[in-house]
Amino acid sequence: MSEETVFKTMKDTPRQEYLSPGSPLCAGCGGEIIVKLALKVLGPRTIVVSVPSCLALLELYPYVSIKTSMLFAPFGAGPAAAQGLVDGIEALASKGVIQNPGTKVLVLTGDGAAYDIGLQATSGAIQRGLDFYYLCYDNEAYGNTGFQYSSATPFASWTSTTSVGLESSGNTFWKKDLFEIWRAHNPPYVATVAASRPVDLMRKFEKASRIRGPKLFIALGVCPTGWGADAKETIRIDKLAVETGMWPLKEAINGEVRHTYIPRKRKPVEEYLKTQKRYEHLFKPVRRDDLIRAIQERVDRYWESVSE
Amino acid sequence: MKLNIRLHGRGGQGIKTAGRVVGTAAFLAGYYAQDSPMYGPERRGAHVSSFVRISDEPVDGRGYIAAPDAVAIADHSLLEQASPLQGLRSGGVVIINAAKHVELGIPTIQQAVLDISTLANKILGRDAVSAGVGAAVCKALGIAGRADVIEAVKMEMEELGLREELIEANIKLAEECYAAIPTLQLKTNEEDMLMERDEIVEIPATPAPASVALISAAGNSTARKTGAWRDATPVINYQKCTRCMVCYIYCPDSCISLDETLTPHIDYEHCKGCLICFMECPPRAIQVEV
Repeated sequence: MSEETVFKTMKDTPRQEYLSPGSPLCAGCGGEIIVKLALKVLGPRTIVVSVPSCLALLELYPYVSIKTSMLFAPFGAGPAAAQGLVDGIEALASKGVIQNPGTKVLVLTGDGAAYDIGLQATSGAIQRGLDFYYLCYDNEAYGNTGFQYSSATPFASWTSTTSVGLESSGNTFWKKDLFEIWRAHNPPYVATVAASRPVDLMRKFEKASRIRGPKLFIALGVCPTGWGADAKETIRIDKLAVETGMWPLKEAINGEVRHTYIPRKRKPVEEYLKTQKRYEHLFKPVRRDDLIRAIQERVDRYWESVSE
Repeated sequence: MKLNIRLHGRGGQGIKTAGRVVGTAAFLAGYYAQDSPMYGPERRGAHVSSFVRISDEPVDGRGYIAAPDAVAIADHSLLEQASPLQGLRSGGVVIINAAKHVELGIPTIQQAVLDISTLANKILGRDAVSAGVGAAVCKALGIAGRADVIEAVKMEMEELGLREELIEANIKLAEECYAAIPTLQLKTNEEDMLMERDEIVEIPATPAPASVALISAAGNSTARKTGAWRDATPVINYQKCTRCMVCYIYCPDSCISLDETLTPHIDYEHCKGCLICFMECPPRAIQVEV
């Protein structure tokens, strides 16, 4: 596959906009930046399949922010709806009813659908080799309904269903490794992206658009409201997630993993954790070195296993 | 008596709860009462509203109150941004959370002003004005006596699951607001509406078999003026701007556009004031105006 890219610097960002202003999403929404950039690469002939998530607010009756077509599907059924669209377009095109110059189908969900409720439908679609894009913006909880725990919630994080304090220390589970679960289905393309790395993000969508079959993305969806940070901190937090190594940027082409950015001098995870109220109990009223160390060790172990 | 009240504020101030306090107090005072918030996805800082209908007969109206007898405004900056006076009847009452009288330029409406935010900050330590606004509305419109208002605040705060000391603090806030605001005489009549309401989006009927929530438009969210959410405004200093596109790329709401020379322009009708552009601008060419 060609490594040629039109995205060399931020100045190569396409100038077409496929999202209108006026969405009711929170000020400073990291997920919205991700979708904006992804659609810039995918272009006007993209049908967005949306399921319940914060970003479903991009289409809140009778308003819609998406300038291309979109379809709203039940929570667990995004990839199943995509299968219907892909098959339907193909059938109508083969009968000559419609012209189909490169229509793309993009399933857009949060981590609730990707990690929990829609994992089965995604598993089926990847296994069937469906030619579609899946973009999960991962804000690490059920943000739209008030930030309840999901299986994407990181260790020690507060959520509205996870207590914190002297007796309890936030989420006791480790974040599910969806990248590896998806990769185990052997799709041609899986990648992680982050809003603070727009060129990396655009290149990955560009690369995916040259591939037939399931193309899946997990994006860090910085959530000022749920994570407890000021709206203006979104990109700063996003950068820290990448620079501390907590959010690895990687891709797997036909199963082979490659990191697209390796933070050689990783910042301590503490720098990232301190920016968010959901981790406040790690520092106040007493400093929880045990928990901070556990998170740091997990990150260190991950990067030690990376031999690129 | 038949009284329709509309309450306006920003997400996080407690406007839904303020409406509930008024409705519950009216009920305790022996009226029929109905209260409901405008449930939308609007978040932090966004304009939110709630509605209370009070009557000595059963209440049959539902939904948005287009022509209220009284309006409560918990953040007076909304006056410029969200037309909270829309549809208010002449002779009606406006209750405003502000430090001093606000010049509205409308002689036919009466105004009661109380600095509820300062009291809330003093008593609760933050701008949570629900109990104060609720109590002020009850007193200003003569809806319920002190005891009923305090009981209503207690009930609503308990329902929210607040800690004992926070419930007490909210009662204190309600008591102070109740004592401080005067009672005004409503002089509204059915016919006389002060301001027409804005155009609303027409939802066309579809035949039953094809009846889905169909939006036959693309990108029409521009009709939603999210600029009213903003409490701080980013302003570009074009002398310092290097046309690097960073603000354009990171604006979540596509509110920054570029012209042919890559010069960025901010769409203030929709900018929510997240200030990511201000934070990320490499030459620090964006200032914040409050």
